[in-house]
Amino acid sequence: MRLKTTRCLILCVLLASCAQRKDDGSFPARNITIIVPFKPGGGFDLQARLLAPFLEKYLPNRVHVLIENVSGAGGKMAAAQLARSGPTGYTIGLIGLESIAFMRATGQLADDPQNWSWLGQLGSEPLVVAVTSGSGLKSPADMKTKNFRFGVTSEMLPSAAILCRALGARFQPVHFDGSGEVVLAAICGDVDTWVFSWPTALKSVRDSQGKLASLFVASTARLASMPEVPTLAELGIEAEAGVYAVSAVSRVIAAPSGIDAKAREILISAIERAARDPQFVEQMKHAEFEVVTADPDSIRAKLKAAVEEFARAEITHMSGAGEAQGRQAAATNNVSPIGRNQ
Amino acid sequence: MNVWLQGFQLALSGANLFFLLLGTCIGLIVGVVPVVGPSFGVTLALPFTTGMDSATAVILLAAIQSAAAYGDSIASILINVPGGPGTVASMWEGYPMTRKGMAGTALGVATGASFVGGLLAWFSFVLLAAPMTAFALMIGAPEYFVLGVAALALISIASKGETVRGLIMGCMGLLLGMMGPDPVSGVTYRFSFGIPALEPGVDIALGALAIFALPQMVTLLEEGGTIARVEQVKDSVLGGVIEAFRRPRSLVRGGLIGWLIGVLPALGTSAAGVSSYLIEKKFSKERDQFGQGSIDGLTAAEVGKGACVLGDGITSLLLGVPGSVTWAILMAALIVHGVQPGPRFMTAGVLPYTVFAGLLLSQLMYFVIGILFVKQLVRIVHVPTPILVPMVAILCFLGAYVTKNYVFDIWIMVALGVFSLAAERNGYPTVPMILGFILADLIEANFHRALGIGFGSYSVFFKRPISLVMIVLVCLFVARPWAMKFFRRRREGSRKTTGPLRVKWGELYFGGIVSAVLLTFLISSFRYSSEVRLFPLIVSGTGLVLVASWVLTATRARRVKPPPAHGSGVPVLFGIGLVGLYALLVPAAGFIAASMIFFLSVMFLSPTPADGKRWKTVSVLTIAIGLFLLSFERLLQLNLPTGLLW
Repeated sequence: MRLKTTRCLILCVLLASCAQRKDDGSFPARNITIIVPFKPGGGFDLQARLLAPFLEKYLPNRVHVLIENVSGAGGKMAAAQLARSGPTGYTIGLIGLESIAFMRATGQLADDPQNWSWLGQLGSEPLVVAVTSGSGLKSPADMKTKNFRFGVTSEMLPSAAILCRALGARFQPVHFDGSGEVVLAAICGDVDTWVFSWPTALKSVRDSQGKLASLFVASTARLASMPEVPTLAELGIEAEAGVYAVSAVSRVIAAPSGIDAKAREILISAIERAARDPQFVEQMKHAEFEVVTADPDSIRAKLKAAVEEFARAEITHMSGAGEAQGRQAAATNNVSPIGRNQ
Repeated sequence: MNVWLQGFQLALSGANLFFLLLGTCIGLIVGVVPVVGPSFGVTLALPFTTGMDSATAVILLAAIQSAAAYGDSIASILINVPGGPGTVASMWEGYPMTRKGMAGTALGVATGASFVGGLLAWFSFVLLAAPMTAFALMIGAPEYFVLGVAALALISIASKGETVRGLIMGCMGLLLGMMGPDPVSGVTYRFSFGIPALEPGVDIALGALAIFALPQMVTLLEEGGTIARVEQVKDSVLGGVIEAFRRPRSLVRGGLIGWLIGVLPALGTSAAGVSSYLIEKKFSKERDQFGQGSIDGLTAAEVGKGACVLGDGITSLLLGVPGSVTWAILMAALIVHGVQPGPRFMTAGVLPYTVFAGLLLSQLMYFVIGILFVKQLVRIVHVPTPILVPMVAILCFLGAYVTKNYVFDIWIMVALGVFSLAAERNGYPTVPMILGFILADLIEANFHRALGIGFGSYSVFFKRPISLVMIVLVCLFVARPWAMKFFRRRREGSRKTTGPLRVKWGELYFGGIVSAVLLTFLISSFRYSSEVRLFPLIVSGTGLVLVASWVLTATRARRVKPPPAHGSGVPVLFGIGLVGLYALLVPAAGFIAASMIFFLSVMFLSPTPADGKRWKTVSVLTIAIGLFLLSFERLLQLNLPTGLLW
């Protein structure tokens, strides 16, 4: 019996030491949580998990950085959870800037993301449109004249619709659950084209054994990693600036508005230093991601432009060709892209 | 051949064996906890692997995945609570065996069968990789749709003779699966009824837990005593392993089905276990023993799951399309270590072969460790239910919360669980419900996808050869019973139906509840656009027609009073109340405090003979639960909900 009591005591002491938190007033005094709006396994989740140890390294005080996957409802659940956590600086989110912009533009976010505390960016990847070899689509002009099937995920649907409007093309959307499924369907010839961020496009086109080809990149300059892919302008398409504002996947880090200025500065500098750590850059490169950091002001400017473009784009375009009327009611209520995963 | 040797050499060298063992142990522990399964274990381990060399990382993760997928069976068999969506079918034969005092045999069968499934899939992986990926490429949306509709026919096998009510519950399952983002464009959140937390829909793992675990907990509390109905348990795990090996037909049938389902990226382990089981039920020689602890049934369910877990890897590694969430994470781990899954995977040096070696070794490892591990766990069938049930309930709540980190998921689990309990008590089979739930998205999403692929024309289903052949087969299968009846009637004349029907009042009341739910879904469907509401309308309409036809037959039947409740434990309503209070307490008092309060209240309220040691036992156990949860939170770096008390 005594032995048991002793064991209990030891356990209690261990527990107490475990539970004790260092609190000398300096930030951070406890663990920091990164909310990821997706299930484990996607690009956002992977980047958050890669970042965590480096963030721990560059944050003052020895605290842990935890990952919390709050998936569902197109990232809305994660945004709500982030807002609910309050401006403590202990809960931050790795989110897709364009999807936040879309949610704002379609009235799904209660508070204006312009006011959030923007902390940094891990990457910003322009979108690449690819076509299948069997589709007969060889140029944006073909898209204008031909009827074609556009493989989309709910994250990519709004950008796909805006790009098609810029091209003056009508399309038949075919909806899938993830980028892998879309690419597979394209290889089988079930869809004619798709759009994804360039790392996904690069991998998929390279592995397709000639069945897929990148048509153009939706940015103003060619990509260093895909120098052979022309830009929209080079193909003679004059797209407005707004189109480029929504044609990327920007992985940004944010916290609710109103966190303490000192804590914010500490987070911003730690994220910036972690993102530039050569080892982190190397690991990201392994995963075929390119680190592109940005400061809070430029993130805000990008957000503003994207919100404006999504607000300008008519919701009817979201559902593609034809049957706009019937879906409009549903779409205006609840249109949402998920942050662009993978 | 040389690369194979190198791969195995690398996998077996240095610390890798240690990590293989470590991963297996972690996986077993993660697997035993309900809901929490392979994907959870692999996600947690992923950050620790970034610093390791690539072979070690892959081996650790593969070991966790294999062992966790296997460990899921343990809770299913021992306490009738699904360890994960893949092992739902294992409950149906495994638990009756446990009741009969054959827990060890059942666990042995599970170990042996899932190991054989793993081996089957592994060898097919290695030998048939190229034709398999070609096959997966031929199956597109139209084929998946037809496959899903064909699988719905399994409802009739799953209904235990209550075909109409089975179909009604199948409709309920389909509707449950249709909640959340619509599969046409993903932009309408259906049936959220204004509750934001319902917008993502109900997770399949959570649904399985709710439908089966909660009724089981309440039932156990009601019965009192212990799980094992017999005092002496004299059976051996090893004997069970041998039993499984002695059933080559069940192994081959279940293994093939599980493996095929694994190869198809859109289908996962939840479909594999259930399908293998139900098809075995159709073809097994010991059909009549199904539901009472048939070893054939358990073998089929387990071999199907085991084959599917590895089969999922084929498309993941060779096509780059994740076959399951777990494989998506394993793929992420490979990517971090510089190997891209995809058609060129096998050309990436030795590492791919190390991956294969690791997968095989982790199968062997869980087979050996599993036999030793489950021997210890068999004891829990002798733990008195007032202690066991709250512990299991706490684990279920934990599992329900950590998959998505919503407190609301706990409430969904309780609400759905109460519905399922009411269904079960009133003769509405719940197995068709989970089947409908699993198939809902497959059928609906692929129907609309197929139409999109065919530019909106229905001819797409008939123009593709595989799809056409499948449609013809399904039609023949469906028409067969009628055709046979037709011919038989000619020869023998019509047979009379068996004696007068008896119906309990509760069955009628429950029919009313079901039709109210169906009507709610039907009415709310009209708010959506034509494509988005198509399937919900069809399903809820069909459900209503079925309920109406059943009620018509039932009103003509004799109504009887329900037999008085049996059991020496907590009354049903009281049990439900306790679990409901626990769910409400979680956000109010915090997860850990609520769990301790729940445990204390069950211990004191359940009528067990009082003895002197009670206070001591109770307080020690309560503290132990608190400590367990706290260390779980700390070690695994989770955020459990906090409240006023903690």
